[in-house]
Amino acid sequence: MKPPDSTDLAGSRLFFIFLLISVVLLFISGSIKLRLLAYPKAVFLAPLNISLRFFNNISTLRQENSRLKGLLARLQIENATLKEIIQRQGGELNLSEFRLEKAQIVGRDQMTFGSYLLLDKGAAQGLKVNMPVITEQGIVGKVIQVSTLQALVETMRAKDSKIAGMDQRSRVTGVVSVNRGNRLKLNYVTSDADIQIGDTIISSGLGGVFPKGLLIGQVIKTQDHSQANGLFKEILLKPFVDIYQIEEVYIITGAAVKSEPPKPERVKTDWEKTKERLRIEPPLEIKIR
Amino acid sequence: MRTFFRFLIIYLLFLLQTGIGRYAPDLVLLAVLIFALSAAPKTTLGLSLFAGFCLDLVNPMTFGFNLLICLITGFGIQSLQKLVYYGHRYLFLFLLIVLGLKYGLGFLIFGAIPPIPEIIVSGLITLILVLPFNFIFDRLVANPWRIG
Repeated sequence: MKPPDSTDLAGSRLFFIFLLISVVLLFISGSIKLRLLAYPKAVFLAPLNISLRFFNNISTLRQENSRLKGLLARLQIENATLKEIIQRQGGELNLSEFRLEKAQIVGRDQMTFGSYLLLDKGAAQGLKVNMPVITEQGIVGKVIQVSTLQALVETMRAKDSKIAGMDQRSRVTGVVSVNRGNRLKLNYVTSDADIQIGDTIISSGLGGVFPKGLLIGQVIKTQDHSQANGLFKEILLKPFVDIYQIEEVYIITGAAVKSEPPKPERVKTDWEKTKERLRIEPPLEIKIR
Repeated sequence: MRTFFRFLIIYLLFLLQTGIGRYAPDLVLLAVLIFALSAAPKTTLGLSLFAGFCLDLVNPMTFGFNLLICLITGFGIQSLQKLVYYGHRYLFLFLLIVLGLKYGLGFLIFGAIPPIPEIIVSGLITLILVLPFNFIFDRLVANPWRIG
Protein backbone atom coordinates (compact mmCIF):
# COMPACT_ATOMS: atom_id res chain seq x y z
CA MET A 1 0.00 0.00 0.00
CA LYS A 2 1.25 3.42 -0.91
CA PRO A 3 1.95 5.83 1.93
CA PRO A 4 -0.03 9.07 1.91
CA ASP A 5 1.67 11.82 0.06
CA SER A 6 3.07 14.08 2.74
CA THR A 7 3.57 16.87 0.29
CA ASP A 8 -0.15 17.07 -0.20
CA LEU A 9 -0.96 20.32 1.47
CA ALA A 10 -4.55 20.56 0.39
CA GLY A 11 -5.50 21.03 3.95
CA SER A 12 -2.99 23.82 4.47
CA ARG A 13 -5.50 26.49 3.69
CA LEU A 14 -7.86 25.07 6.22
CA PHE A 15 -5.06 25.02 8.76
CA PHE A 16 -4.38 28.68 8.19
CA ILE A 17 -8.06 29.57 8.39
CA PHE A 18 -8.42 27.81 11.71
CA LEU A 19 -5.21 29.35 12.94
CA LEU A 20 -6.67 32.75 12.23
CA ILE A 21 -9.93 31.82 13.92
CA SER A 22 -8.08 30.66 17.00
CA VAL A 23 -6.12 33.91 17.14
CA VAL A 24 -9.33 35.87 16.87
CA LEU A 25 -10.89 33.74 19.59
CA LEU A 26 -8.02 34.63 21.87
CA PHE A 27 -9.03 38.25 21.85
CA ILE A 28 -12.75 37.85 22.39
CA SER A 29 -14.08 39.17 25.67
CA GLY A 30 -13.87 36.71 28.55
CA SER A 31 -17.53 37.10 29.56
CA ILE A 32 -18.68 36.12 26.06
CA LYS A 33 -16.41 33.08 26.09
CA LEU A 34 -17.77 32.05 29.48
CA ARG A 35 -21.35 32.36 28.28
CA LEU A 36 -20.71 30.49 25.03
CA LEU A 37 -18.67 27.70 26.53
CA ALA A 38 -20.73 26.97 29.63
CA TYR A 39 -22.85 24.28 27.97
CA PRO A 40 -20.12 22.55 25.90
CA LYS A 41 -17.91 22.52 28.97
CA ALA A 42 -20.58 20.78 31.01
CA VAL A 43 -21.12 18.20 28.27
CA PHE A 44 -17.46 17.48 27.58
CA LEU A 45 -16.48 17.29 31.21
CA ALA A 46 -19.54 15.31 32.31
CA PRO A 47 -17.74 11.93 32.45
CA LEU A 48 -14.95 13.48 34.47
CA ASN A 49 -17.40 15.14 36.86
CA ILE A 50 -19.31 11.92 37.30
CA SER A 51 -16.18 9.88 38.00
CA LEU A 52 -14.78 12.54 40.34
CA ARG A 53 -18.08 12.64 42.20
CA PHE A 54 -17.99 8.86 42.45
CA PHE A 55 -14.48 8.85 43.94
CA ASN A 56 -15.36 11.75 46.21
CA ASN A 57 -18.34 9.79 47.43
CA ILE A 58 -16.14 6.80 48.19
CA SER A 59 -13.72 9.01 50.04
CA THR A 60 -16.55 10.65 51.99
CA LEU A 61 -18.03 7.27 52.80
CA ARG A 62 -14.68 6.01 54.04
CA GLN A 63 -14.29 9.03 56.27
CA GLU A 64 -17.85 8.65 57.50
CA ASN A 65 -17.28 4.95 58.10
CA SER A 66 -14.12 5.64 60.06
CA ARG A 67 -15.88 8.32 62.11
CA LEU A 68 -18.84 6.05 62.84
CA LYS A 69 -16.55 3.20 63.85
CA GLY A 70 -14.88 5.50 66.34
CA LEU A 71 -18.25 6.65 67.58
CA LEU A 72 -19.45 3.06 67.91
CA ALA A 73 -16.40 2.09 69.93
CA ARG A 74 -16.89 5.11 72.18
CA LEU A 75 -20.58 4.35 72.66
CA GLN A 76 -19.85 0.70 73.38
CA ILE A 77 -17.44 1.72 76.11
CA GLU A 78 -19.95 4.25 77.42
CA ASN A 79 -22.70 1.63 77.31
CA ALA A 80 -20.59 -0.89 79.19
CA THR A 81 -19.66 1.71 81.79
CA LEU A 82 -23.28 2.75 82.28
CA LYS A 83 -24.38 -0.87 82.58
CA GLU A 84 -21.77 -1.41 85.24
CA ILE A 85 -22.90 1.68 87.12
CA ILE A 86 -26.54 0.56 86.93
CA GLN A 87 -25.62 -2.88 88.15
CA ARG A 88 -23.77 -1.44 91.10
CA GLN A 89 -26.21 1.27 92.04
CA GLY A 90 -29.62 -0.13 91.34
CA GLY A 91 -28.75 -3.77 91.16
CA GLU A 92 -28.11 -6.46 93.64
CA LEU A 93 -26.26 -4.73 96.35
CA ASN A 94 -26.19 -1.39 98.05
CA LEU A 95 -22.85 -0.97 99.74
CA SER A 96 -24.20 1.79 101.93
CA GLU A 97 -25.87 -0.97 103.91
CA PHE A 98 -22.45 -2.04 105.17
CA ARG A 99 -19.77 -0.60 107.34
CA LEU A 100 -16.62 -0.39 105.22
CA GLU A 101 -13.09 -0.08 106.47
CA LYS A 102 -10.66 1.33 103.97
CA ALA A 103 -7.19 -0.23 103.97
CA GLN A 104 -3.99 0.16 101.99
CA ILE A 105 -2.19 -2.82 100.54
CA VAL A 106 1.25 -2.92 102.12
CA GLY A 107 2.43 -6.29 100.88
CA ARG A 108 1.89 -8.76 98.09
CA ASP A 109 2.99 -12.32 97.99
CA GLN A 110 4.88 -12.47 94.72
CA MET A 111 5.65 -16.16 95.01
CA THR A 112 2.02 -17.11 94.76
CA PHE A 113 1.24 -14.62 92.00
CA GLY A 114 -0.96 -12.33 94.00
CA SER A 115 -2.82 -14.96 95.97
CA TYR A 116 -2.34 -13.11 99.25
CA LEU A 117 -2.30 -9.44 100.21
CA LEU A 118 -1.19 -7.75 103.38
CA LEU A 119 -3.28 -4.82 104.61
CA ASP A 120 -2.34 -1.99 106.93
CA LYS A 121 -5.43 -2.46 109.10
CA GLY A 122 -5.95 -5.16 111.71
CA ALA A 123 -7.89 -6.17 114.77
CA ALA A 124 -7.43 -2.69 116.23
CA GLN A 125 -9.64 -1.35 113.46
CA GLY A 126 -12.23 -4.05 113.94
CA LEU A 127 -11.07 -6.50 111.31
CA LYS A 128 -11.85 -10.15 111.86
CA VAL A 129 -11.22 -13.39 110.01
CA ASN A 130 -13.57 -14.14 107.08
CA MET A 131 -14.49 -10.54 106.49
CA PRO A 132 -15.00 -9.84 102.75
CA VAL A 133 -12.51 -7.59 101.04
CA ILE A 134 -13.71 -5.63 98.03
CA THR A 135 -12.94 -2.71 95.73
CA GLU A 136 -15.17 -0.53 93.59
CA GLN A 137 -14.85 -3.14 90.83
CA GLY A 138 -15.87 -6.16 92.89
CA ILE A 139 -14.63 -8.90 95.19
CA VAL A 140 -10.92 -9.13 96.05
CA GLY A 141 -11.02 -11.93 98.63
CA LYS A 142 -11.45 -12.43 102.33
CA VAL A 143 -9.46 -11.85 105.48
CA ILE A 144 -7.81 -15.06 106.70
CA GLN A 145 -5.47 -13.83 109.42
CA VAL A 146 -5.58 -10.79 111.62
CA SER A 147 -2.97 -9.23 113.87
CA THR A 148 -3.38 -6.04 115.84
CA LEU A 149 -2.38 -3.71 113.02
CA GLN A 150 -2.28 -5.92 109.95
CA ALA A 151 -4.47 -8.38 108.13
CA LEU A 152 -3.75 -11.08 105.58
CA VAL A 153 -6.18 -11.40 102.69
CA GLU A 154 -6.68 -14.48 100.62
CA THR A 155 -7.60 -13.25 97.15
CA MET A 156 -9.79 -14.97 94.58
CA ARG A 157 -6.62 -16.11 92.86
CA ALA A 158 -5.58 -18.28 95.80
CA LYS A 159 -5.80 -22.02 95.27
CA ASP A 160 -8.04 -22.55 98.28
CA SER A 161 -10.37 -19.68 97.52
CA LYS A 162 -13.96 -20.72 96.86
CA ILE A 163 -16.76 -18.21 96.43
CA ALA A 164 -20.40 -19.05 95.94
CA GLY A 165 -21.29 -17.36 92.67
CA MET A 166 -24.39 -16.78 90.61
CA ASP A 167 -25.20 -15.67 87.08
CA GLN A 168 -26.79 -12.26 87.40
CA ARG A 169 -29.05 -12.85 84.40
CA SER A 170 -30.14 -16.46 84.70
CA ARG A 171 -29.58 -16.87 88.49
CA VAL A 172 -27.70 -20.14 87.91
CA THR A 173 -25.43 -20.79 90.86
CA GLY A 174 -21.99 -22.35 91.15
CA VAL A 175 -18.69 -22.10 92.97
CA VAL A 176 -16.00 -19.75 91.73
CA SER A 177 -12.41 -20.85 92.04
CA VAL A 178 -9.12 -19.99 90.42
CA ASN A 179 -8.14 -21.30 87.03
CA ARG A 180 -4.83 -21.12 85.21
CA GLY A 181 -3.59 -17.65 84.33
CA ASN A 182 -5.49 -14.59 85.38
CA ARG A 183 -8.81 -16.37 85.06
CA LEU A 184 -11.47 -17.85 87.30
CA LYS A 185 -13.86 -20.67 86.69
CA LEU A 186 -17.40 -21.29 87.75
CA ASN A 187 -17.71 -24.87 88.89
CA TYR A 188 -20.61 -27.22 89.46
CA VAL A 189 -22.84 -25.72 86.80
CA THR A 190 -24.90 -28.35 85.08
CA SER A 191 -24.35 -28.78 81.35
CA ASP A 192 -27.85 -27.59 80.46
CA ALA A 193 -27.64 -24.43 82.57
CA ASP A 194 -28.27 -21.11 80.87
CA ILE A 195 -24.90 -19.38 80.94
CA GLN A 196 -23.81 -17.17 78.07
CA ILE A 197 -20.61 -15.40 77.19
CA GLY A 198 -20.73 -11.87 78.55
CA ASP A 199 -22.88 -12.76 81.57
CA THR A 200 -21.91 -11.19 84.86
CA ILE A 201 -21.23 -13.47 87.79
CA ILE A 202 -21.97 -12.11 91.23
CA SER A 203 -21.71 -13.54 94.70
CA SER A 204 -24.77 -15.56 95.61
CA GLY A 205 -24.46 -15.07 99.35
CA LEU A 206 -24.70 -18.83 99.95
CA GLY A 207 -21.28 -19.27 101.50
CA GLY A 208 -22.03 -16.97 104.38
CA VAL A 209 -18.85 -14.95 103.88
CA PHE A 210 -19.69 -12.66 100.98
CA PRO A 211 -22.98 -10.81 100.87
CA LYS A 212 -25.17 -11.43 97.86
CA GLY A 213 -24.61 -9.24 94.81
CA LEU A 214 -20.90 -8.45 94.86
CA LEU A 215 -19.34 -8.49 91.39
CA ILE A 216 -16.95 -11.35 90.67
CA GLY A 217 -16.31 -11.57 86.94
CA GLN A 218 -17.60 -11.87 83.44
CA VAL A 219 -18.09 -15.09 81.49
CA ILE A 220 -15.60 -15.27 78.63
CA LYS A 221 -15.86 -18.91 77.62
CA THR A 222 -18.33 -21.72 78.06
CA GLN A 223 -17.78 -25.26 76.93
CA ASP A 224 -20.33 -26.58 74.46
CA HIS A 225 -22.80 -29.19 75.63
CA SER A 226 -21.55 -31.61 73.00
CA GLN A 227 -17.99 -31.28 74.19
CA ALA A 228 -18.78 -31.39 77.89
CA ASN A 229 -17.73 -34.52 79.62
CA GLY A 230 -20.07 -35.53 82.33
CA LEU A 231 -22.60 -33.48 84.16
CA PHE A 232 -20.99 -30.11 84.46
CA LYS A 233 -20.17 -27.28 82.17
CA GLU A 234 -16.81 -25.57 82.22
CA ILE A 235 -17.15 -21.82 82.48
CA LEU A 236 -14.24 -19.42 82.44
CA LEU A 237 -14.49 -15.96 83.95
CA LYS A 238 -12.46 -12.82 83.66
CA PRO A 239 -12.38 -11.23 87.12
CA PHE A 240 -13.48 -7.62 87.35
CA VAL A 241 -10.73 -6.88 89.84
CA ASP A 242 -7.15 -6.99 88.66
CA ILE A 243 -5.22 -7.93 91.79
CA TYR A 244 -2.01 -6.41 90.45
CA GLN A 245 -3.59 -3.03 89.79
CA ILE A 246 -5.31 -2.33 93.09
CA GLU A 247 -3.66 -0.25 95.81
CA GLU A 248 -6.42 0.07 98.36
CA VAL A 249 -9.37 -2.07 99.33
CA TYR A 250 -12.46 -1.97 101.53
CA ILE A 251 -13.24 -4.52 104.18
CA ILE A 252 -16.87 -5.12 104.99
CA THR A 253 -16.77 -5.09 108.76
CA GLY A 254 -20.48 -5.49 109.33
CA ALA A 255 -23.87 -4.00 108.76
CA ALA A 256 -24.16 -0.25 108.99
CA VAL A 257 -25.49 1.09 112.27
CA LYS A 258 -28.70 2.83 111.48
CA SER A 259 -28.89 5.91 113.62
CA GLU A 260 -32.42 6.63 114.76
CA PRO A 261 -33.74 10.10 114.16
CA PRO A 262 -33.91 12.24 117.34
CA LYS A 263 -37.31 12.19 119.02
CA PRO A 264 -39.07 15.51 119.14
CA GLU A 265 -39.25 16.98 122.60
CA ARG A 266 -42.62 16.73 124.29
CA VAL A 267 -44.33 20.06 124.61
CA LYS A 268 -44.67 20.94 128.27
CA THR A 269 -48.01 21.89 129.60
CA ASP A 270 -48.67 25.25 131.27
CA TRP A 271 -48.90 23.66 134.66
CA GLU A 272 -45.48 22.00 134.26
CA LYS A 273 -43.93 25.24 133.15
CA THR A 274 -45.40 27.13 136.12
CA LYS A 275 -44.29 24.37 138.46
CA GLU A 276 -40.74 24.55 137.19
CA ARG A 277 -40.68 28.30 137.54
CA LEU A 278 -42.12 28.49 141.03
CA ARG A 279 -40.77 25.16 142.20
CA ILE A 280 -44.14 24.36 143.70
CA GLU A 281 -44.35 21.06 145.38
CA PRO A 282 -47.35 19.01 144.61
CA PRO A 283 -50.04 19.27 147.23
CA LEU A 284 -49.52 16.89 150.12
CA GLU A 285 -51.91 14.10 150.45
CA ILE A 286 -53.77 14.27 153.69
CA LYS A 287 -54.16 10.95 155.05
CA ILE A 288 -57.22 10.61 157.18
CA ARG A 289 -57.10 7.95 159.60
CA MET B 1 -12.74 3.50 12.36
CA ARG B 2 -9.10 4.36 12.96
CA THR B 3 -9.96 8.05 12.90
CA PHE B 4 -12.76 7.51 15.37
CA PHE B 5 -10.32 5.72 17.68
CA ARG B 6 -7.93 8.64 17.43
CA PHE B 7 -10.67 11.07 18.49
CA LEU B 8 -11.72 8.77 21.27
CA ILE B 9 -8.15 8.45 22.52
CA ILE B 10 -7.73 12.22 22.49
CA TYR B 11 -10.94 12.67 24.42
CA LEU B 12 -9.98 10.04 27.00
CA LEU B 13 -6.55 11.56 27.39
CA PHE B 14 -8.14 14.97 27.82
CA LEU B 15 -10.31 13.60 30.65
CA LEU B 16 -7.28 12.00 32.24
CA GLN B 17 -5.16 15.13 31.94
CA THR B 18 -7.93 17.30 33.37
CA GLY B 19 -8.55 14.80 36.17
CA ILE B 20 -4.90 14.82 37.22
CA GLY B 21 -4.91 18.60 37.41
CA ARG B 22 -1.67 20.19 38.60
CA TYR B 23 1.57 18.60 37.32
CA ALA B 24 -0.44 16.77 34.67
CA PRO B 25 1.62 15.86 31.59
CA ASP B 26 0.53 17.25 28.23
CA LEU B 27 -1.06 14.01 27.15
CA VAL B 28 -3.38 15.54 24.57
CA LEU B 29 -0.61 17.51 22.92
CA LEU B 30 1.54 14.40 22.87
CA ALA B 31 -1.25 12.44 21.20
CA VAL B 32 -1.73 15.16 18.60
CA LEU B 33 1.97 15.10 17.90
CA ILE B 34 2.12 11.32 17.49
CA PHE B 35 -1.05 11.14 15.42
CA ALA B 36 0.10 14.01 13.19
CA LEU B 37 3.10 11.94 12.17
CA SER B 38 0.95 9.17 10.79
CA ALA B 39 -2.49 10.56 9.99
CA ALA B 40 -3.66 12.25 6.84
CA PRO B 41 -3.63 16.08 6.77
CA LYS B 42 -7.40 16.47 7.12
CA THR B 43 -7.55 13.99 9.93
CA THR B 44 -4.72 15.81 11.65
CA LEU B 45 -6.58 19.06 11.25
CA GLY B 46 -9.70 17.57 12.80
CA LEU B 47 -7.74 16.01 15.63
CA SER B 48 -5.92 19.27 16.33
CA LEU B 49 -9.15 21.24 16.38
CA PHE B 50 -10.82 18.73 18.65
CA ALA B 51 -7.85 18.51 21.01
CA GLY B 52 -7.47 22.28 21.19
CA PHE B 53 -11.17 22.78 21.75
CA CYS B 54 -11.23 20.23 24.56
CA LEU B 55 -8.24 21.76 26.30
CA ASP B 56 -9.66 25.26 25.99
CA LEU B 57 -12.91 24.20 27.57
CA VAL B 58 -11.14 23.73 30.88
CA ASN B 59 -10.11 27.35 30.96
CA PRO B 60 -12.57 29.37 28.90
CA MET B 61 -10.85 32.67 29.67
CA THR B 62 -7.90 31.68 27.46
CA PHE B 63 -10.13 30.07 24.86
CA GLY B 64 -8.28 29.86 21.56
CA PHE B 65 -4.81 29.43 22.98
CA ASN B 66 -4.73 25.62 23.10
CA LEU B 67 -6.51 25.56 19.76
CA LEU B 68 -3.70 27.64 18.35
CA ILE B 69 -0.99 25.45 19.87
CA CYS B 70 -2.60 22.21 18.69
CA LEU B 71 -3.11 23.58 15.19
CA ILE B 72 0.47 24.76 14.99
CA THR B 73 1.65 21.36 16.27
CA GLY B 74 -0.49 19.44 13.82
CA PHE B 75 0.35 21.63 10.89
CA GLY B 76 4.02 21.78 11.77
CA ILE B 77 4.41 18.04 12.10
CA GLN B 78 2.47 17.46 8.93
CA SER B 79 4.78 19.84 7.11
CA LEU B 80 7.82 18.13 8.61
CA GLN B 81 6.70 14.89 7.07
CA LYS B 82 7.98 16.33 3.83
CA LEU B 83 11.46 16.56 5.25
CA VAL B 84 11.54 13.60 7.60
CA TYR B 85 9.60 10.60 6.44
CA TYR B 86 9.94 8.56 9.55
CA GLY B 87 9.46 11.31 12.08
CA HIS B 88 8.98 9.05 15.05
CA ARG B 89 12.72 8.99 15.52
CA TYR B 90 12.62 12.69 16.32
CA LEU B 91 9.68 12.58 18.68
CA PHE B 92 11.66 13.88 21.66
CA LEU B 93 12.94 16.80 19.64
CA PHE B 94 9.48 17.59 18.26
CA LEU B 95 7.95 17.42 21.69
CA LEU B 96 10.55 19.73 23.17
CA ILE B 97 9.92 22.20 20.38
CA VAL B 98 6.16 22.00 20.87
CA LEU B 99 6.43 22.47 24.65
CA GLY B 100 8.79 25.36 24.19
CA LEU B 101 6.38 26.90 21.72
CA LYS B 102 3.48 26.44 24.10
CA TYR B 103 5.12 28.15 27.06
CA GLY B 104 6.80 30.75 24.87
CA LEU B 105 3.55 31.73 23.18
CA GLY B 106 1.78 31.68 26.51
CA PHE B 107 4.31 34.12 27.88
CA LEU B 108 4.07 36.33 24.80
CA ILE B 109 0.27 36.44 24.74
CA PHE B 110 -0.61 36.45 28.44
CA GLY B 111 2.63 37.73 29.87
CA ALA B 112 2.84 34.84 32.32
CA ILE B 113 3.80 31.20 32.48
CA PRO B 114 2.94 28.50 35.00
CA PRO B 115 5.31 28.02 37.97
CA ILE B 116 8.68 26.58 36.92
CA PRO B 117 8.39 23.38 39.05
CA GLU B 118 5.07 22.61 37.38
CA ILE B 119 6.56 23.12 33.93
CA ILE B 120 9.55 20.93 34.73
CA VAL B 121 7.56 18.08 36.31
CA SER B 122 4.86 18.15 33.66
CA GLY B 123 7.40 18.38 30.83
CA LEU B 124 9.53 15.56 32.21
CA ILE B 125 6.57 13.24 32.61
CA THR B 126 5.45 14.07 29.08
CA LEU B 127 8.92 13.29 27.74
CA ILE B 128 9.00 10.00 29.65
CA LEU B 129 5.64 9.05 28.17
CA VAL B 130 6.65 9.69 24.57
CA LEU B 131 7.95 6.23 23.76
CA PRO B 132 5.27 4.21 25.59
CA PHE B 133 2.53 6.30 24.02
CA ASN B 134 4.08 5.98 20.59
CA PHE B 135 4.28 2.23 21.03
CA ILE B 136 0.68 1.93 22.25
CA PHE B 137 -0.78 4.23 19.59
CA ASP B 138 1.14 2.35 16.94
CA ARG B 139 -0.55 -0.84 18.02
CA LEU B 140 -3.99 0.72 18.41
CA VAL B 141 -4.26 2.85 15.30
CA ALA B 142 -1.30 1.81 13.18
CA ASN B 143 -1.43 2.61 9.52
CA PRO B 144 -0.87 -0.43 7.33
CA TRP B 145 1.57 1.48 5.13
CA ARG B 146 3.87 2.21 8.04
CA ILE B 147 7.14 0.34 7.67
CA GLY B 148 9.72 -0.53 10.31
